[in-house]
Amino acid sequence: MSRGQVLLAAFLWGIIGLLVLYPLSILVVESAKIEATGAWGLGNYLEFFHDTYYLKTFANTLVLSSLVLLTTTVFGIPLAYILARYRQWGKTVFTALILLPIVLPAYAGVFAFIIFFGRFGTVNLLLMDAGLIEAPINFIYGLHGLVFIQSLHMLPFIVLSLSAGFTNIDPCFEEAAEVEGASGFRRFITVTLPLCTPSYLAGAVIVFLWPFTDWLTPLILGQVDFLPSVAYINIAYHFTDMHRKYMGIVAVVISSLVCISIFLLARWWVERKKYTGLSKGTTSEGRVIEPSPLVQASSYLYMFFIAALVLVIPIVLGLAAFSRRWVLEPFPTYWTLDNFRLILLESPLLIQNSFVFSGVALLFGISFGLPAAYIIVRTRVPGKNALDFVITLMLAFPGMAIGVSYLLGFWEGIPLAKYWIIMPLALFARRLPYFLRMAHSSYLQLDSSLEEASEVSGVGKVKTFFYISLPLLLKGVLVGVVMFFIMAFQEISTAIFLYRGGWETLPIGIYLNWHRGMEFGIAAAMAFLMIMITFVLLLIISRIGGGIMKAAWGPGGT
Amino acid sequence: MKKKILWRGLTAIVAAAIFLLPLIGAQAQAADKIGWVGPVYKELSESLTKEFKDYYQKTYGKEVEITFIRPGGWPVCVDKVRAWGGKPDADIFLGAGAPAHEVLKQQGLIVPYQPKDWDQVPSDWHGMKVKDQKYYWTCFAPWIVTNLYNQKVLDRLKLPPPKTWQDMVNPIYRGNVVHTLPYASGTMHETVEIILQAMGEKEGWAYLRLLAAQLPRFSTGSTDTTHIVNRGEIPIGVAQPQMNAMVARRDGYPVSDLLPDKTILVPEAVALLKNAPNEKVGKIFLDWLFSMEGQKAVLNGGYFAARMDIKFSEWEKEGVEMATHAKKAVGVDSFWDLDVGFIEYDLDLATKRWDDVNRYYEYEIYRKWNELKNSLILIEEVEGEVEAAKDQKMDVAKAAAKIKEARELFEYDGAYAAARLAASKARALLVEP
Repeated sequence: MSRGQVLLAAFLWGIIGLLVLYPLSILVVESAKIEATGAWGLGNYLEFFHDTYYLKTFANTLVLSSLVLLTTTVFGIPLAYILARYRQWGKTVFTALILLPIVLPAYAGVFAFIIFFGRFGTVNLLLMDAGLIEAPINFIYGLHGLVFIQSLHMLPFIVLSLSAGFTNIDPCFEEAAEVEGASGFRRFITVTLPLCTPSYLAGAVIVFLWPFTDWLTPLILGQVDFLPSVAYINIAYHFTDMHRKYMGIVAVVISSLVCISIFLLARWWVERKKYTGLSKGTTSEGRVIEPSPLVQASSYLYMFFIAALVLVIPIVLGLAAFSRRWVLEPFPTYWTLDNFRLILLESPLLIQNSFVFSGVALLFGISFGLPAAYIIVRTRVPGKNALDFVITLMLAFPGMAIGVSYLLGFWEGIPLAKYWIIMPLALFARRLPYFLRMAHSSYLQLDSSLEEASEVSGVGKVKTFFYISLPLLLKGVLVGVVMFFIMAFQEISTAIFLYRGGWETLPIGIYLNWHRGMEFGIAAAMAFLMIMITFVLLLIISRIGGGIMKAAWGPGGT
Repeated sequence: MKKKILWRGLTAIVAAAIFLLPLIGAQAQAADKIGWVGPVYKELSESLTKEFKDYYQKTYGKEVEITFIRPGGWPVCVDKVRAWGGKPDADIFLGAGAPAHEVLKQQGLIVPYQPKDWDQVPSDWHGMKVKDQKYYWTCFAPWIVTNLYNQKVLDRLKLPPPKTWQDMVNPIYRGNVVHTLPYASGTMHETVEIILQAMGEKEGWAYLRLLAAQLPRFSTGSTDTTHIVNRGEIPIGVAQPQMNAMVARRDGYPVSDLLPDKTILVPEAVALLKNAPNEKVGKIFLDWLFSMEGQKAVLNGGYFAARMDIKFSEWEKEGVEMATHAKKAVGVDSFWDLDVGFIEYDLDLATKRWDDVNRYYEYEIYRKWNELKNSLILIEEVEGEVEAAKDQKMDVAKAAAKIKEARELFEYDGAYAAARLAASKARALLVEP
């Protein structure tokens, strides 16, 4: 432990103190306010656990989380394996397609599914017109719909983390298993999957915690009996009823506690065992398999199935974007370019804001995330675990809580909220864990003996980091960078509380036009534009990134 | 030593980034400024922005820079102002009915100002306050709380549009009505209050229980209700601002106003925020808003204008396009000539029990919503069985009394479990009287 490390840690702590501890402590203080007496106490919490309704929402959220994790895992394992291991044509396109849901604001997907799978949506109307059904089928309103929509939204996280895991595994382990006679499925279950545990858990934690943060999807579907939605309604709509607001904050704090516990559990699990390999294997792209024609065909079929579900979102939004008055028709009948004409007048600023805010947030994220991961994994600086805790706490806190606490914390005293910098700062603080988790698990897979060797040879820690650790980390970190950017790009729950006139981002524009405005064609056009921009961005990055991105997203592609 | 330099460099860059970036955002502006916050629709804010900028340029020979913040429905807007804690980031609270402004007034967040043509706005109408006598707030865009239906979907379902509040709870409309929660929308809260005041508390809550049983789901807010009805997902939407149907119709959606038999006026009002950073421009705006020019901008923004001396037919001649829509929408030549079933609305009572009404709705209707629906379905089943038994000349006196008791337990007491028990007993009494 050098003085430099301590200084670095102190600096990181300073940022954490300002951007996390200070605003969130305000939130906790608010949650302990008792409306009736004006005093502080645990009364709100006691009420929460005595109220069958809150307990029910709590249980609902847990059930939803488990189902979403189960669904994404079941569907994600084959997908990740195909993408990471099989040599196939068109892999880049499929990968980009399957990653698409995370670049869309969750609610844009919900609207697309309402139009497509809704009561009088395309599917129901086609089925009814064909005389196959009498009354509309309820595809999406209910727990099943939530599981479907949230799973599709979260699937990329599992796929990304698992395929990173599959690619990073030293082929020696699997070859050794094959030499010992465990091939095929058995090798996969006993060697490959367990070796992926650190990467998998990095994704799984994010997936599991999502239903504890996503208030908007249940709200739009009219299924609000979930912890974050109830919290949102209580906080955003408490009006003069302060007790309602405090109970909302209690719900936020409790869901955060759940998230922290789950995170701890995952971390304990990863650190209990040693998952590191000595080398990264012989190829930078990991192990690649030439599948048999049958396997090849079924893997294509599978990828088509998932990609088709994902494609429903841009296609439906695209149809809506080029039309108006789409009512009780399977497909639009009135076509127009009006929506695009309108957004070209409106959204240049929104697009610019989105890029600037996400980009600045990303800069903050990298210059904070890499040193933080380094401190956490490689040093013995006192309080590094606490640092990790606190950063991950941000993952747990619903965006609206961060928005509200920033508004409370950064208006008087530290008046950051008056400047646009609050937007990237909030994005940075909110999305930081995504980057850190990736860097963290990459560090875990990087055996410290490589760095030690460098240091023993007389190279300083900083130089070792840039010449040894960083190149080896890049693969994992680049995934983190991409994910960080797209998560910042689609962020709305925090931004919606902080934006002021002129600071609207694309997601806020979509929200305002679609949900609060009158004409959803304009919002659909914005969402469509956003999908196009992001999709092109993904493709360009995967091209320019060359070897590195290929390694991160699997080889192949044409 | 190298690493120290590197760390210091890093620190300096990040620190510089954090402290310098805000400056880029806060470029000096030569133009005058004004900020609005409020729940009005974008069309209105755009229309007002355009016209006020023109007016300002013409009259003062200067640019005016307008910022408009609409964080959500009006409770969220009030919250935003409250969160600013006396240092508002806007000058004008634009929109929302009397209750919002009464709260702002009571909490000392707005200050009185009498716009020039204040006298042209009526003081009250059918018992509704239209402006504050102490000049705290003034209505600039009145509208009526109404309902909405999608003609195309109702036609397909072969259902007539419900004419009255009582029609709405007819079981034929079950699954085809949508509204939001009273604590998620000011309009919905007002609708609940209208029903409570029009029918009395006992009958009102009974009615609201029956209405809740009609819903397949709750919507997120009143605008969400509009969207759901526009798109035809659910054909009947309860608790709608009157303009929504008008504007949706103009956009080509097959929706119509469903003017209820009992309703109220919402005096969409405007007020000057306390400690407004641009108070002078704020006052100029308020004066302009109540001028004929400003009122035309209101109408063109899809809201009805508030002055009593406005005749739509005259504006139509002057070429105001929306005057034609307005005239057709209300069927009279001035908004204030409108003749609908208004109730005597007790604003003080409504303001006082605001939270209590929301809480009762949440606890007794929303949280027990599934149980409520199951109970009603059981009661209706047994009622049907009692009728069937009556047709077969069976002795149903006891069973009929019991099922009546069940319905009363359901409607008046909200005792859903007890109502189910009574209904089961009634069913048993049919078999063994």
